[in-house]
Amino acid sequence: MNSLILVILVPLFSAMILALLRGLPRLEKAFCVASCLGLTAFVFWLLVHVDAHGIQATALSGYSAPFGIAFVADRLACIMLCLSMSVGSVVVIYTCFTVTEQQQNLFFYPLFQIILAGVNWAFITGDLFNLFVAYEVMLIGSYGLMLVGAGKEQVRQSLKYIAINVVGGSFFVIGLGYLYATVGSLNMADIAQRTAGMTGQRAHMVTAMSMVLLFVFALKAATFPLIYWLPDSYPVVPAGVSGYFAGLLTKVGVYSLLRVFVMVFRQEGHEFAGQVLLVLSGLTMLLGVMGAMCQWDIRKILSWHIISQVGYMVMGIGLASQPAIAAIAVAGTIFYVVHHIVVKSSLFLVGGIAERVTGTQELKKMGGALDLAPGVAGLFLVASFSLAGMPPFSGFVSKFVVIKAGMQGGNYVVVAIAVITGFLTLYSMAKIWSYAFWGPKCRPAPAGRYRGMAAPTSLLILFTIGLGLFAQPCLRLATDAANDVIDPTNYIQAVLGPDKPRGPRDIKFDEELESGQLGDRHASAATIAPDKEALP
Amino acid sequence: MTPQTLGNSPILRTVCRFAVPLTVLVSLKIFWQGHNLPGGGFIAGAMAAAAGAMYLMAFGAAKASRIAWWKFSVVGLLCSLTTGTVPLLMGKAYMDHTFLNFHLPLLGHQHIPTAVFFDLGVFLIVLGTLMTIFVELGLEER
Repeated sequence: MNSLILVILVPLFSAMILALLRGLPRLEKAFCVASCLGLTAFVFWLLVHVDAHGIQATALSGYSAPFGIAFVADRLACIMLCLSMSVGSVVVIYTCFTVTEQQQNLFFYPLFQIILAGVNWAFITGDLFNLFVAYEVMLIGSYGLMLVGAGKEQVRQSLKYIAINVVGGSFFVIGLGYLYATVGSLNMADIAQRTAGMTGQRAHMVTAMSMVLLFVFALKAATFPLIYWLPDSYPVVPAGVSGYFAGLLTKVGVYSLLRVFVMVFRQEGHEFAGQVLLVLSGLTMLLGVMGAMCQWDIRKILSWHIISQVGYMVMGIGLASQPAIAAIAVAGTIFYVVHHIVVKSSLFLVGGIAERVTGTQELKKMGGALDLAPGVAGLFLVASFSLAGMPPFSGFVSKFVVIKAGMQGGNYVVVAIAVITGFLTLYSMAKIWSYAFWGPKCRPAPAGRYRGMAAPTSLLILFTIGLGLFAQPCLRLATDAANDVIDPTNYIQAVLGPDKPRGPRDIKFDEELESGQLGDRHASAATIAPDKEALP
Repeated sequence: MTPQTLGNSPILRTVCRFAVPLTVLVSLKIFWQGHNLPGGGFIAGAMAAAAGAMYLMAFGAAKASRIAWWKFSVVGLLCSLTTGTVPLLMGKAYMDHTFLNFHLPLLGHQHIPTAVFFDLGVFLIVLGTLMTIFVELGLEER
């Protein structure tokens, strides 16, 4: 299906047209909203289509996989695309009311469209090197947006963000080099096929090498101990766009972890990555929520909560290494990602409105927002209850499924941490509530107009309520998506074609590899790869 | 020697009058041969930007800043994306490509890959981006 490329093409084209529309702020806004809504409609159609007709794949420039770049839309990718575009559209409408003309002249909307292109790209690509490219496109957009109209503080914080991501990017390329040397392919379906049933020394090589990629994705997802860049850099992003950053950017890392460590690596001993992730997830949850408890800046509290929430998702991915509970764990993770993206984005958007209403970002100076803007208080209440996991909102269902998987697998320690984290989340949400919304009014009237910002935000809030109330059909979709990921037979068939024999070049390569004849005897990949236990 | 004093040098100016057009011509040649020989959009764009940098040194950034160089990048990316999209509209895969074969009077048989339009976009992107950086840095100097 060639039209899969549209999820990248439309944002990129829009970005360029928006750049040419510079100086016409109203037209720019209208065009940006229209392009986002159009693409949102397309990705929802795609989700329905894929759910009904199976996985869709396309090969760019007609070079078939694994040699060309494959774009694959399975259920998981489509769910992520729908979230990316829905949140993107809401954020664009929201920023129509917050963006200044000066920001627009600094290419605010083109940069945002480039981020959209990068994020969509990361979800739809079926090739690991292409995933790296997607990461870079996404990062270029985010570097730019962080510095739009930046002051000294913004520049200082975004330097950290840039530095850590440059390091991550370099390790990504290094990891891909190792991967190509050991497995001989970068196409996800092809790697999944080649690593299945791989044993012995070669399998250990792949496992060891996959830890480099684990580092990169964990960094991107803000998993312990690579978390400190996030709470510093996210609060300086312009209001509104921070909602998209908070919801989507770290989740690209979570998605990559899920895709690569559940679906792609299937060699003997791949469960090791799951065990590592399980340990990391517990520490991430606990550290994230504790960081949130001691903050007094509304954006910083919310940023620290991203970290603790990422812990739950990583926990699900870690649990997926136990075959008995893999399906429920991955389904829970997918449901959690959906819930988290919607709720976290809406919390950042509501936080932005609260700042607009009270005129300050510091929690201790806020107060009385309940009287100033009762509707906004209602939005915050729903979102924060959902985040903490109170029924009937989506947070309850998603936490329930992940914790249930943990109980079935007998991982009681991490389950206990998850429950405690839920309580502490409620505590710090209550802190925001009591300081920002209760108490005496900090000013006689709202500091700015906020209704335009509240309208798109309430759409997201409705979504989280709907997700909680109609959990059964949503969980059905998540389970189907999870099954596609756990057993990649359909995925491989969609990408590489039905029972496609491996090309002569492939087989020759493998034979050479097995007999240790490939290239220089000193090249690490060729000498270590053959499964001979006694090497000279 | 700072760029200011360099800019007043008549030697540099005189050399630039010849060197800048020559460099641009060579870069176009390298662009054109790019499909079958070493060369292509990226290196040609970098070379054209080098010519621009030379111009900037001799005549000052203010003169070069009259052109909105970032628009070159935007148009370039649009050009590259459009090249990829045309096969999509014709029902082929994105970025699928073919060759144009035709005869021109005087020039004879021509063999042009459609990828040349993609490369033209790359040329413009590289030129536009590098020149934007040069001009911005050069203006800072004053």
